[in-house]
Amino acid sequence: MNPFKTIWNIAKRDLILELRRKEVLFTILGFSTLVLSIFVFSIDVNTKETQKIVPAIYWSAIIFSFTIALGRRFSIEIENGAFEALILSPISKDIIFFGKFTSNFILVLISSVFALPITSILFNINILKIEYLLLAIIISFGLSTLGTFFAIMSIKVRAREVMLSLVFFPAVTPLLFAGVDCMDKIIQNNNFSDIQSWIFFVLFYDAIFFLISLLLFDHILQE
Amino acid sequence: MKITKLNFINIFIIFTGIIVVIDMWMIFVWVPTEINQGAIQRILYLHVPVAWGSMAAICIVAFSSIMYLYKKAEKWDRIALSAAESGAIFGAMMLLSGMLWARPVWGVFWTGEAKLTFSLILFILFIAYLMFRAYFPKGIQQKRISAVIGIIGAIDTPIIYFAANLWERAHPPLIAGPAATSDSFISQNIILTLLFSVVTFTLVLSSLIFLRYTLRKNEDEIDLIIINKT
Amino acid sequence: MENKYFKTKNISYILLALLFLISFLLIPQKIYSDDDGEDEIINGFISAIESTNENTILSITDNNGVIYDIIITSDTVLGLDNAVGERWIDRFSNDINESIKRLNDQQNMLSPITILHHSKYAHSITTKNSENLKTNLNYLFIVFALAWLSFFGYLIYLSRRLLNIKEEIKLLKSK
Repeated sequence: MNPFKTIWNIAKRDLILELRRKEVLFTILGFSTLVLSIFVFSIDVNTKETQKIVPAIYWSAIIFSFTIALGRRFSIEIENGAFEALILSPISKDIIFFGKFTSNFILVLISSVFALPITSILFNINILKIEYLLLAIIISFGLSTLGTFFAIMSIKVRAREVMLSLVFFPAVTPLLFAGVDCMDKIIQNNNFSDIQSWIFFVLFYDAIFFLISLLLFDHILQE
Repeated sequence: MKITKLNFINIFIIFTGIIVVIDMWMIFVWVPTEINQGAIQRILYLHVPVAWGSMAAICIVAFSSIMYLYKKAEKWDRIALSAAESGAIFGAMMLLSGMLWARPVWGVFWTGEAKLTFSLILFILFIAYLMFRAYFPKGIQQKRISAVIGIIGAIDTPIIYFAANLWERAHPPLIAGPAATSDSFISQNIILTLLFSVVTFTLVLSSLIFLRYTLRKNEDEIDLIIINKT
Repeated sequence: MENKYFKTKNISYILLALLFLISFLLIPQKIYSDDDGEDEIINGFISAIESTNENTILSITDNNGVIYDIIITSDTVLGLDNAVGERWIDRFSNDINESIKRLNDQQNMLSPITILHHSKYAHSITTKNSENLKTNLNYLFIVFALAWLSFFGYLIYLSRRLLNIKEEIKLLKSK
């Protein structure tokens, strides 16, 4: 069987489940909207100082909601023993990782792109720029790599969701720095060259952690 | 109380204790007070070695984790655990001494400076490693997953440091005290004391690791005896 | 079925090695090339303060008699002691008149000040904080006390547990 087809099948199964239950997408969108609107209530939106912290609010909303959604998704898998069945099936472990990663990537990308117009409406920021999309794509890539890896790793741990965020947050802080700083510079209408070093840094980060996750994935599945 | 045998570990700990006393004498009596910062500068002799110790600890954790995944020997897992626990204590000391130094000198406990961000995340990584380990059901998979976290954490730390450096320029550090000055008087004695403190705290770190390692070995032994009996 | 199409393992190892190689080659250069963005330090006393409509310029004379002209921006942080030793910390733009008054006081007292600047634009202007130097000893004591308490606490905790466990092993073996 074609490996790309297998990857797509695994991802498609997750996405169809998601379309039927609409649980994770609503968690991410609902939670991030909630976080954003709480900030709108608690601070004065139209001052210049506030505009500087909008990127930080946006990215923390995305990361928090993504962590909650990850916990939800994998608890569904454990309840029905679906994940064990997937591991027992005669598919290479790498392909399972690719599949899970793809579905997570699509989910986090959709939610981070959808949270952009909400942010722009609530905080009066113009977001019709291609740079935002690029940023969302590369940062979602890194987030979903480590998110998938850590979520599968923490399947058996007690207090799973707390443990997941405890290892996930420190590991993705570089992405948070990159996202916040780049978005800040894009809002201030800087050139592409200003965020260039961040873009390369995030690409480097994505590549390293994607490869490391692939290499170590065998070890976290062995009993 | 029973008199313990003079084995290698006890001798090592006693030796470390003697070195610590000498180091304290050097820090508080021998070395002259630095001109610009006054007495508070003596925190440096604690802060720098402790920071070095916590970074050495994460390197030990990473190395022994890789060796564990490669060789599957219990020894390496024990070393990783002991290094992580001592590293967490060193990390806490690093944060605390740094903050208490910054308060009188910079006027604030905390700024968005690269090294501070980095050391906070390093500390959280140690805590994450230990908590994940404690909350995972006992067995081989627990050890393997801890090793994986150790490796990822150690690879992450230089990346976080680099990112924090890039990030720092967005937030210029708020310095509201007597800043470090260019004609800061750094004598031979200060450097010598600093180096001696680094050696001392390396010894303290290794004795903590040794002790924790022996404890862990004995705990495993008890588990083995109980399994054999039942 | 195992890795028939991708040799993912081998490819990953090679790519990872390449990435680390690249990072070792590039990142140190990157860090060093950023060094010119660092702040520079001047010690001295204020010899003149000149306010125009646009900005305020300080003339600083250092120990060797060299005069520097430093431009104060709206983001410059001031931390100045008055004659009694009370410290006043604020951003220059928050209260420009008060800031200039305080700086004039410093000029009249000829007090030594430290300036952090980047290409003549000041980040911070500070005097030595005499009040804090007295309280420093408390901080020093707290730091060392906490450090040794935690180290020895951990050491004692470990060795007690070790003794207990050795007893337990003896008990279990004798049974």
